[in-house]
Amino acid sequence: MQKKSIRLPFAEAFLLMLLAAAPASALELVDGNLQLHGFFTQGAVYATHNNFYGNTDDHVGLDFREVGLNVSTQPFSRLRLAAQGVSRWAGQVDQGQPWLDFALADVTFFSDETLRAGMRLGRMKNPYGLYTETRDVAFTRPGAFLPQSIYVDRSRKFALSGDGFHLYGDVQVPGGTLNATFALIDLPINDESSKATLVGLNTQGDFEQDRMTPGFRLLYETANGRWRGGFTYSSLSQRYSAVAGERYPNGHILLEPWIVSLQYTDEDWTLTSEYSQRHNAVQFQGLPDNRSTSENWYVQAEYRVVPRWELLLRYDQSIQDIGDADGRKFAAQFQRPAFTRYTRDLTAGVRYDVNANFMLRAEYHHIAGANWLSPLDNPDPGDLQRNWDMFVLLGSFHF
Amino acid sequence: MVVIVNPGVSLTSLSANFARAIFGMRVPQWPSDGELKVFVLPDQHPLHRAFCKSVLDVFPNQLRTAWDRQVFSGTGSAPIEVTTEQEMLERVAGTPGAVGYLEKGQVDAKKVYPLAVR
Repeated sequence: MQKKSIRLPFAEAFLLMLLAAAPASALELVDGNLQLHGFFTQGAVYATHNNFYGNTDDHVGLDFREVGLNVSTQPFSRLRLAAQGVSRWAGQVDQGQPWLDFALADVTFFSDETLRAGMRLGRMKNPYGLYTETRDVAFTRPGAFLPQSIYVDRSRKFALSGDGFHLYGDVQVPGGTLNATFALIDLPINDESSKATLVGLNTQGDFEQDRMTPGFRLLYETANGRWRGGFTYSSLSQRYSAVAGERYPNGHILLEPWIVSLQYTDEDWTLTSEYSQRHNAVQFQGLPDNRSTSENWYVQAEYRVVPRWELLLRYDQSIQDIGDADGRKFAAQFQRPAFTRYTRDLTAGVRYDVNANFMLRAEYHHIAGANWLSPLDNPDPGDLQRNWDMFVLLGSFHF
Repeated sequence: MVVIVNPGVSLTSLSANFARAIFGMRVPQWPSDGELKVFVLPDQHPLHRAFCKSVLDVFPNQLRTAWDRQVFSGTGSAPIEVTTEQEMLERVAGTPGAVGYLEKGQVDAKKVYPLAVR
């Protein structure tokens, strides 16, 4: 396993400096007309087997770090501008490259007591499930990291942010509010981790979208916000252009995920479940077409025992192909471990809010399977183990 | 406990749903097209907790979660936090389009207008 040095390039050092100088709450400049927010997260991961977010196989990996800074302003009441830069380290999947997470103009078309509608232009976070939009902001996440079934990090660029436009509306309906977002975006999907996930390691070719990616999310929230329910759909069509002599020839991959989300919140409890299926249609020249459906879901309870202390319990399950749930057909066909086609992850954790800006987490994962591990961190499938446990410690600061 | 606004705001009452949307930071402007600035006390402040429960019927952690989600996804802003009731009164009085809340007895009718929640 290669171990990278933890050297901070200039941009990150600058972000860290800003964070260190930041006050305890949001920085408001120009009489509250300019807001500055930021976060810094450092994790430590140890696994009994397998590598997740770095070199963690019977080893404590510190290669899990997230830094971000955002600014927003409302020059006119109908126009809001916002941008966020993020640097993230997570093993070989993310190595700290500065990333423009969003940079958008939000224009309000209409706003009265019962209806708000508008449009966002630029680079936006994807309206995908309940958590994608703030997936890299530790204190908004339920747990040290999100359930990897639906919010898989090894191909995270598919559902991170995209360039294009969102049309949205927030309308009062009986019993609550309905929020609808329609997105038409370009996704930056040609990163090493996504490629390694889809066509294997050391590929030279490129992924490109066939067309803009459409997606929408409907979110219903009761008037008092106790219940939230949602439906997400997206359709990503992409071409693979191989270079001469590659293992994979030119190909086409269509991914169509949908998610049903449900959440209940009161003062002490937040109960959340999301269920998702993704239809996959894969065609490579000269190879048989492959159609499959992946199934991903989790149930999760967060319980605020006493002020500042929160407990987490979660069961998260991912099945790559519901026609081959135990992976046996795959194992017979490709001579690869069957357990690389599913994962069941039972998680128990605790969160302690030291103060309003600083949070600590400790988490234990009991895992069977390995379908969401990145090939970049685990290059030899023969080294993978089916049954493994993982311990995560995390500290996060935000303002 | 009452919602208070800057005297420049033309509204005289608002629905509970609209109040929740405003303090949830989902409303970019007043219906009359004017700018809207939301002021709150800290999450743990007894007046903030009481306002959330009795007027908005939400828990403070729900509002905080919604603000964080909006701030860090670029879809909205956080409200402006003041530390004392006196500061709340002065900032709402001195900021065009401002909205906040106070105990009825703390409202100085020469400086801010109370808004009835329907």
